[in-house]
Amino acid sequence: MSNGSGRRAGTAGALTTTLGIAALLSLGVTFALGLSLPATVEQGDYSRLIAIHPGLAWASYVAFGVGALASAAWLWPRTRARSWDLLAGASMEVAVLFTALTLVTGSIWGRPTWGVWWTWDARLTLSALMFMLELGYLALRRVPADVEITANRSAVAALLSVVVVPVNHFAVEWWRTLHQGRSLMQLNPRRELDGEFIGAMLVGFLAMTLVYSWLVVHRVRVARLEAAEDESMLARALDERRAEEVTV
Amino acid sequence: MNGYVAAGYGSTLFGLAGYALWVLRRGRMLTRGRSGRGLG
Repeated sequence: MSNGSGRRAGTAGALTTTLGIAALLSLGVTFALGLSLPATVEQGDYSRLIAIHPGLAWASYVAFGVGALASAAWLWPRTRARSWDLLAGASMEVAVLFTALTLVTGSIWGRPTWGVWWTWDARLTLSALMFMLELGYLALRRVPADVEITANRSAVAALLSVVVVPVNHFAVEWWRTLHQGRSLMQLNPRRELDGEFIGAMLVGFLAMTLVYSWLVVHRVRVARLEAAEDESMLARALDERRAEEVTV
Repeated sequence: MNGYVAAGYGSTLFGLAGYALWVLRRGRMLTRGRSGRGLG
């Protein structure tokens, strides 16, 4: 697809189109499998949320982790490249979306099963802290400064705050919590969950990973365009200023 | 369908689709040379 100036309109390409179709299909299968799960004795219909909630939480960990790895690559002199900083910013923004959806779906699941929308349980508190750290990271990126300084500051912030991810993941074992144990430890059909619940949850993991990948590729391309736009606007403003000086 | 289940699936769909549309639209605007931003 192209516009009048010969530039492609939009950030889609062959790779993202294929990835997008795969993400959409897997998300559709996740929803179909999740909504067709039978009601359980313990939780009734609410157990159907297993297809989406753990997958969203997983994607939020992946997004935060990729943000931290890209930040490390930016700070490491041998791999230092602007693309790593853009990837870190994009991934952390997508992390905000997945963490917010994890908190929302968790709260919706918690209300009928625990009787409360929210409680200061270790897992929930750390998820909320993770969300705040992601928002703080994005706010730090918006503090006006030189591009390099902004990238350095935010990379250090991402590396310091990523420690919340493993702590959050193991919180259900390290502290006594209302939240159930780690989802990935419940893959034995005879022990905790029936096979169809495990299947729906694993398809959910795959779907959310594909959706994350698709979103982050597009967001990086948008960030690259925004950076180019900022540079051209600055150059234009400087040219105008110089022209004014000549006129005066 | 149970209301809580519908709210869970609905909010997920709304959040993912909303963000995806925003990113796609922003990309289209920028490739067409309209940033929607100014120097202030």
